[in-house]
Amino acid sequence: MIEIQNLTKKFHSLTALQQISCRIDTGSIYGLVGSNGAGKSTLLRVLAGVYRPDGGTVLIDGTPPFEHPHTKGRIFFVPDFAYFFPQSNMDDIADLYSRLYPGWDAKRYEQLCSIFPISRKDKIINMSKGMQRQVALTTALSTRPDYLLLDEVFDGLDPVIRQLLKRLLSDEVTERQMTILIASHNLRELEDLCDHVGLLHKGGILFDRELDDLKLGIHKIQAILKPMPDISAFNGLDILNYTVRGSLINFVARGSKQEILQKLETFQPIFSEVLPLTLEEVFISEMEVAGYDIDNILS
Amino acid sequence: MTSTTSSANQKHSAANNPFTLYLWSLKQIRGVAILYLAILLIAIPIILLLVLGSVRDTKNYTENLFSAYHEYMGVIFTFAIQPLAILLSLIFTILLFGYMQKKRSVDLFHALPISRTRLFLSRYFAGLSALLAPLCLVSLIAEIVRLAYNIDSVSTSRIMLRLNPTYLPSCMLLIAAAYTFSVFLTVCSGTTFDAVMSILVISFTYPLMTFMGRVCAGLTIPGMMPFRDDGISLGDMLLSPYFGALLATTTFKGDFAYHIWWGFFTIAVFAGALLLYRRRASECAESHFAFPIPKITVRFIATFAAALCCGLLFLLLIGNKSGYFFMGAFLGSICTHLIAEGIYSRGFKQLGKSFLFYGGFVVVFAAMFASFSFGFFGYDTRIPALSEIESANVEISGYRYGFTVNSYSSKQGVPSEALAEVSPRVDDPQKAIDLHQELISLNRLEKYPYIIDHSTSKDITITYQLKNGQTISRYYSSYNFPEGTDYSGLMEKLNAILALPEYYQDSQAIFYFDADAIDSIDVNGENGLTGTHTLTSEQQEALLAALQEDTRDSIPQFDANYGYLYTGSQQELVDTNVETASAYSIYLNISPFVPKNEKLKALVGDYQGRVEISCSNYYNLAPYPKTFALLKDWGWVGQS
Repeated sequence: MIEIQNLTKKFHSLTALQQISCRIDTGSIYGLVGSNGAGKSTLLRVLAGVYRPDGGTVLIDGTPPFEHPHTKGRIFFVPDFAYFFPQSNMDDIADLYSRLYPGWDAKRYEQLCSIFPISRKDKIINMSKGMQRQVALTTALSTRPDYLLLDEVFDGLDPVIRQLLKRLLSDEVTERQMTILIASHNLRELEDLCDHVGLLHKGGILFDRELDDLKLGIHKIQAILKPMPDISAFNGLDILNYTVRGSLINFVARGSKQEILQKLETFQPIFSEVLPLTLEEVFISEMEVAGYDIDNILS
Repeated sequence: MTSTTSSANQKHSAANNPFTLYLWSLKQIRGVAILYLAILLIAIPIILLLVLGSVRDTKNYTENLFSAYHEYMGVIFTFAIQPLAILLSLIFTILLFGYMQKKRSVDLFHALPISRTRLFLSRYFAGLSALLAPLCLVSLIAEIVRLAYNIDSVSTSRIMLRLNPTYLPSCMLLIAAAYTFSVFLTVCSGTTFDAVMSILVISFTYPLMTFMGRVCAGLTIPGMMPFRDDGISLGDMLLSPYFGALLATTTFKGDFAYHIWWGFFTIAVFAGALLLYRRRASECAESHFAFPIPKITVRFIATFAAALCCGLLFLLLIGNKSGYFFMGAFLGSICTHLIAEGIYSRGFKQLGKSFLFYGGFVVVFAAMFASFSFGFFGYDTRIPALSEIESANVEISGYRYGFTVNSYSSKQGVPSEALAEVSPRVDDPQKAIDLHQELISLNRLEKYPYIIDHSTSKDITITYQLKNGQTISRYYSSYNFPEGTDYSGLMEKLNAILALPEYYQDSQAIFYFDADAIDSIDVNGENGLTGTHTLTSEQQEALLAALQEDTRDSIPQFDANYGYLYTGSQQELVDTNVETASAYSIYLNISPFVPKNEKLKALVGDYQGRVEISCSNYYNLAPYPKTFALLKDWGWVGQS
């Protein structure tokens, strides 16, 4: 389990993380979203033991990662732009990791090498960005980490590899209770993978929820009403936002689907339907209610 | 949440192997290390064997082999192996520690499940062993070759490699110091560029600063010498191991302080680098610096060196006034400060703040010159107490005194050996103290507070050997005082020294020659060489006697205005034949000889072979009336 308490990280005068607190349970896939510069990568680096926190605590199963090799041996961090040694190929990297990571699984490495379409003997430096990312993921998963920290991991991967990766990650979580923390500014990528999401903005966590709770308790309704009642007529519904275009009303409301539809029926709509919300739409709605300029945050 | 498997446990033990990272780091630099070793192996033994194989002269085969071996080893170590090792210490530093200066690589290294201490030590020792192991190997091979050819290991030539038990460790210590220093500055720097620049700038400017500082002090403080002839001292390289290592062969003195300093320096810098690395923030990669030590130190030293250099340049080129010196110092320092600020801060956004630092520099610089002006904390007036002095000596430049007796061997490659050294002595230290006190009084009266002045040539050296083993030397100018200065006190003390029998007469080489050693003389007139004359044994005796008598009669003395006082017969010569006599000079051609006279025998002791006396054999005949008369009788001079 990852426990973060009042975590602060500063870069000279810039505060990258400001008193962050959250808890990530073992075996969960936590999506960390936010705009560029929100502090996602910084948080991952603190968790990976690369950065030393300036305040607060970060505990991974009760131990801070910074300067604790035993703890770091159970974590693997795949950064946005992974570094590879000049002139090295994937087997060289595997050789190094096999000597350093206690969980290295040679059989798994062979397996992954056969799954990902990359050559083990080619120089990594000559590979495309997507292939380099596959090298990083292959070696990362071969270390059998208990905690996998991924930064913008889907960037540069083609759709087939993305799906393959999502399946591999889900399998690892199911089989080994691996905990995954994925930082991304792309909510759509996380939607079908994560079970928990947190929104970082300007160094603070604005939002931290179970994805199911989030999606099941919020609905988007489209209806044609004649005559169009005043918005105050919908009192009793927890409406997050709404738009009216002529006789067409769109709104997002919290609550059960049945409860919302029952209320709508009292206006005898000509047409009504409940639409599924994408994760992005859920976030936009929630953030607007919280008073944030969401276009700016998720731009 | 347990995922550790049995195979993982096996791997865990591998991860704990302390040599895993070390070997992996070595693997990373193996390309350059192999190239380094290959170059060394070409030099030793391949070229060495070719050089030794080319020695053909069977007559002096052993001597030629000895020369060939030692000359080659001296040259190859001084001009190839050591510079190469120095260059590689920088390259290995960049290859092994450059990772901490790139954000991407630092992510990888600092996320690895190893402590920073272990990571640092593994990489540090990988670099160190890659530097030193090939050096040990080729030295060992060179020693095997030497033994195989039965070449004597003793070499006294200055440039030759001293294959004694302390030389190679000393050389390796310097290279280790240079490498450790590079690692330290790399840990402190944010980028590789800053690290390399800091290493190079401090290596170059620190010796420059100490040298120029000494020159300025010597040009300001009476008693201090601006340019000493004892070569580069340890103080000139205290913070510049690259400079020290580069000159290790030629400056190595093998003294205790030398080893102690570099040993201490290496350990201190290593400990500092390790401590700072453990505290270094990963996010410092690609930033201006991780710790401000190099920025502050390098900028201060470079600014100081530039101030001294430009100040002296202005003093020499524009005018010998302290105002010009300080103007040059200001321009040099401000330019260097601005350049350093632009480079270290990547612009001038913090220029305003940086002037706080410049202000600090100005205060230190001004304080230093104020201390020079007021005698450098009593340096200008320090005279040891008579009870502290073991012996004293005074050197007055421009007068013929002192010589060295060396052994002579006709065998090529067999070096000569100094058998005796005769210097002018002042048996009564009080005489030296009196002269010293007079010079101090004169300087205090006429020049205090002191200002920098490059026209002062220091012609009097007073040296005290103290009973505690220390040596105190002071250097003074006997003239160059303001017009109207009363020299009478100084001349009185100077004449008292010159009149001492042990000072002037006993230190003249002419009293130690055997007459038959003078093979011939070259006589020079106004227009150069007029003839070379071989002497008969009678002529040899007569010439030596005349020279000795003239020398005995020609003790230099000065009047109150520092005018040279001639003796009666000298004055007569000057008065009557001055143009003729002063136009002639002779040069004695003296072959190595076996000493016969008792004075020389006493000097060389048990030595039975031929000797050479190292001294000036040139005599201008103006103050040598008897010699001039003798040569005139023989018709070799005065035939206008």
